Amino acid sequence: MKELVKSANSLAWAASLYPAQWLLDFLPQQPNQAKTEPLPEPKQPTNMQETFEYYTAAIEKDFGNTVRATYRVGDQVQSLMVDLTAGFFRLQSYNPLELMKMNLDLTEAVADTLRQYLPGGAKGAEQNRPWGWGPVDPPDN
Amino acid sequence: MNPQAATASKKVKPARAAQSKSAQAVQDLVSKAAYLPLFSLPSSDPGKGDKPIGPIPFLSEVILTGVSVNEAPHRFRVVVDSPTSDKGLSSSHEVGEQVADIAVEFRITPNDFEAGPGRWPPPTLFLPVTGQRFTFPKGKFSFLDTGKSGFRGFGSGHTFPISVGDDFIIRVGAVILMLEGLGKFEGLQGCVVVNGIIKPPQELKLFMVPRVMDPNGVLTAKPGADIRPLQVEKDPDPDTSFLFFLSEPDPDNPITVNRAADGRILSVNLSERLQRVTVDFDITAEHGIRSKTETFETVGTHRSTLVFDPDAATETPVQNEQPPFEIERHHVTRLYSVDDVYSFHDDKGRVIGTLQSNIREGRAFRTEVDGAANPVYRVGGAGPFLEGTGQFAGVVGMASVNGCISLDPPAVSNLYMLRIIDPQGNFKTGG
Repeated sequence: MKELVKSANSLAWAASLYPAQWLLDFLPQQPNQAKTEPLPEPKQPTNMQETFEYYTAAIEKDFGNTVRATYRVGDQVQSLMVDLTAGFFRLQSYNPLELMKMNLDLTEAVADTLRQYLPGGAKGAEQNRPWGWGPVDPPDN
Repeated sequence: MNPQAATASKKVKPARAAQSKSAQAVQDLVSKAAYLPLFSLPSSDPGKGDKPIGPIPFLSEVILTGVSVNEAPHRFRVVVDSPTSDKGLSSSHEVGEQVADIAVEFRITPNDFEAGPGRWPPPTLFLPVTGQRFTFPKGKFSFLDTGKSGFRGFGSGHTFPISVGDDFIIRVGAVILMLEGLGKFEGLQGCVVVNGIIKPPQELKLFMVPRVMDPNGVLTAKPGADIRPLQVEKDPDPDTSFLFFLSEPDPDNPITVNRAADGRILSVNLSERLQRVTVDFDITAEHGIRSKTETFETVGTHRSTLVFDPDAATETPVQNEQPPFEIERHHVTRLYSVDDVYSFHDDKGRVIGTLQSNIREGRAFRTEVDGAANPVYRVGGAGPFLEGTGQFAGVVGMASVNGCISLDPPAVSNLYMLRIIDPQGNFKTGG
């Protein structure tokens, strides 16, 4: 049941991002934009859960890198929430302080991950200190 | 003949001879290196093991920002066969006994994070479907020799995901700089290039080669010395083939430099001959670690343009665990390659196939060496295969390089390592 709910949520989340991809497709392509890695063809479904997964995979195949990354992060979060709701965790996880800290850590990680897709938005970038270990940015291969 | 011209010619000859001698001396210097090929396997020590790091401790296997890697590198030996017109290139590999311990922190970083030793990136989620940068903020290689040799290092790399059939494979390429040598590595300069496939947090099929500049032969076996045979263990990566080649200068196409109008170096054109090579080492000799490199016939060529700034004012402050934090500085610059093409031929000179694979993640380390008037550049890097012809048509994998070049006088010695996803065994000996 838990997996079925996760699959349904994934489909809803992917569908909600589809307009964002549609809008991005109208924007001019940025130079040095990484190519989108192709995903495997989804398998034909045999039950309700696989049907959700089939349509989710079909939508995800149309996503570019940015929307795909956003989708994956959100999907991990919704999956986590389902696990939380289903009482997947140990009893001590319901300690309110621990739960609050977990939520803060998760929010920070998601925010930092999404921030890297915003131009100039990455935390920790110190371009004025060229230590030589920054990003290697070759032209598109 | 004009007597004056004859005199001038005589004057030039000793200068050219001296120049040539100097070039050969530098070529010898950049070639003197010890290679220690390793294949990393999970530690058999139940107290050790890879520990995923994530914002939710008990979900860190799903939502992870890094891994505390505790692995057991084993000896790794690759034998490339002489290419033939029927089979083309083929090779076999063996994984041997454990020879080291690795404790390395692996962290995903934002794309424009300026990494450095001891610099921890903000928590960044690992996204398997997209290429991401990562760093090793701290790490230690400890060999299991009697001299307790090893080194502390820092490095960074990049993931290169790709789907192959029904599998989703994450290739990783990374360069690790030796910051501080211990035991037999003390005072030596080197770097490690990683060419791996990962499915974090459990499956890390990391192949890596430390290359240590060894002008005095501290780590190099004496000529004729035998290396203790490898104690073969079960192959953890049977669907992969490896091809190793050692480069030497192409006398018909010397290294050239492309400059901007103001004289700044923009890039370096490399043209090399590729020799079959076998590298092996052991750690149980009386004097500890010994590496042995055997080269064979030329089987191909390699051309590329390396893009890096040899004069860049960059440096890596080395941070200690305890104050004082800065103990040494290493000059390191970003590096990538374009028009990077390998071409292989059989014993009759017929082309077997070509492979294009640019270095996508690389570093160059400006290095002062006794005996060379100008600095040389240690280079390390990796990049996915782009396209191929002949035997390499449609091949998936990643190329990596660990070597050294000199621009003035021109000299080069690079070890190229091709890791091929090869479930059909097209590149395997007898396959």
